[in-house]
Amino acid sequence: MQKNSQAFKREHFPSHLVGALTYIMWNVPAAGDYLISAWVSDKPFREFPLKAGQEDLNSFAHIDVATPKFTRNVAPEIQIGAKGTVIFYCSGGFREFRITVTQKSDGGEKEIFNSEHLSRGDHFVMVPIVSGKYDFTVDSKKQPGTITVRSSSEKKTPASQLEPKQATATDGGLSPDKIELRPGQPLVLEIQTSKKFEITLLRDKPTPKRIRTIPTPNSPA
Amino acid sequence: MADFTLALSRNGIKDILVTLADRAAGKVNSDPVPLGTSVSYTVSTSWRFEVGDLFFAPMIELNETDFVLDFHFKFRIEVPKIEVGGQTVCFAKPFGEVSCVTLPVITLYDGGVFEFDIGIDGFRSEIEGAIDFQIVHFKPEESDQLDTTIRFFWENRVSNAFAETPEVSDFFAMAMKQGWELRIIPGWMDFDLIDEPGTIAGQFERELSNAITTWGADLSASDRNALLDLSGDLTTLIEGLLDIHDDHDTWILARISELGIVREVAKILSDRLGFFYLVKLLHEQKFPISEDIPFSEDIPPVRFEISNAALTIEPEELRIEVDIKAPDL
Repeated sequence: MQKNSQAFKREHFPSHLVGALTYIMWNVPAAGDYLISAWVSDKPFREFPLKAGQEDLNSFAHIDVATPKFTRNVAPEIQIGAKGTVIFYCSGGFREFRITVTQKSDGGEKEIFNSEHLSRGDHFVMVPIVSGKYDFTVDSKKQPGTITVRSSSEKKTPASQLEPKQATATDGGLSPDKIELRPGQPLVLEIQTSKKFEITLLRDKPTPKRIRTIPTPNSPA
Repeated sequence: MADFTLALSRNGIKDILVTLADRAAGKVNSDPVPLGTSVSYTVSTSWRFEVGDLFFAPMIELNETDFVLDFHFKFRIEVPKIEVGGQTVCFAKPFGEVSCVTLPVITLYDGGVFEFDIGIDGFRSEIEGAIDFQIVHFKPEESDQLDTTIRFFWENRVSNAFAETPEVSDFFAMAMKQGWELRIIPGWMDFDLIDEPGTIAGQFERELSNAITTWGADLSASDRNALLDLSGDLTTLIEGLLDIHDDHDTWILARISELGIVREVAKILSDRLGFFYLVKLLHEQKFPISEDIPFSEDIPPVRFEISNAALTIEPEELRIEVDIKAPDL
């Protein structure tokens, strides 16, 4: 029995990293040549050349940043239409990746996307599995927004058949501020903030042990 | 007037029938039966008879005779991959138009084969029926049933220990020879295969539930619960794969009827049971002159042939009358 171990432990979803059960969606601005880099702790891990051709808003490409190493560590060129959408994801493993995109031109190379600074038009998707309440923080400060993941007591629908829910992430919190999900149901967040945000499972505080009071001669009866 | 008369009492007949019932016990192993693309099962079914009371008039009627069935199901289920993602999401692009993308699929559990056994034993069905007796002059060279019957018996014998008993080996030693046999002829027979389908279904349901709890035994409790959350309830999943839904009674009876147990047993009773003689006298009997003097060329045995045999059933006994003659030398 093989399972995707990391996915079962995922309780913390930082917006700037692609890892188990998170996707980042980025829209290609124009035709041209791009180089996508996946970083682990500021070290380049993998590069993916991307070529955007004729405009096609409905085109999209999946890029698995955790795919096994390519020959010379460079993936084959990925084709997409200009203004199409690239979805970065991680099929397995324990690593989390920061993503950058560099546009190549005659004048040189210019970084046009960095997942540390998501902006309007980008999307962050999380697929939580672990049940419980998740908090929403922007720049480490708690903002309004709670995501509750609750398994159904009724006959359960397989996760892959659950409709994704959509919400907006802003500097001031989540909109709507209360979201309920089933385990494995995707939450698609439209980005309307340039700040990093995090979604984290709230762990119940351990119940303090009852202290047994030993009566003393002076204790009241 | 017959030269020789053999009489069997009712109790004597019953003793013989009890022995015969042991010989009629059998076992059927099904081929793998597919249920959809990811589930298959095999069933081995063994049965035996427990003889009750007999009444002689005019055939011999069986009362309170039980037909006992044991089932052993072996299931093989290919549990499918459990995945998240794959849904379509539509959103407004910064360029002003709405477009749709498909989320990548992430595999959480890559599937596997889940095998489990379910044994359901001791289901009884009361048989009512009648049997008759017949004297047959058996000649091996004229029997087209001999080879297949013996092969069937040996392939389906209840156990080696049973096959190796002197009684059974004596039976087969005599079975190949020409002789006069007293055989059972099935008259009519009536029974419901399973008297109480709800009971067998209930036992099956409990066993299935126990088996499913063993699934994913190598996972931690939390991972297993997470997988069950994602896959939908596993019992529902497996019952869906097995096509059981909520009606265990109908399902189990359909599986049993697919095996053709009734057909198989009826075939044995009607076709093969006739091969199993109760009493046999060899066509040409040989007796030594004395127990102390073995056969030899100098001292040939006393020999005689049975020229005719007839059978009569009376209320309390069964009588066989035999005519004998000296063989042609």
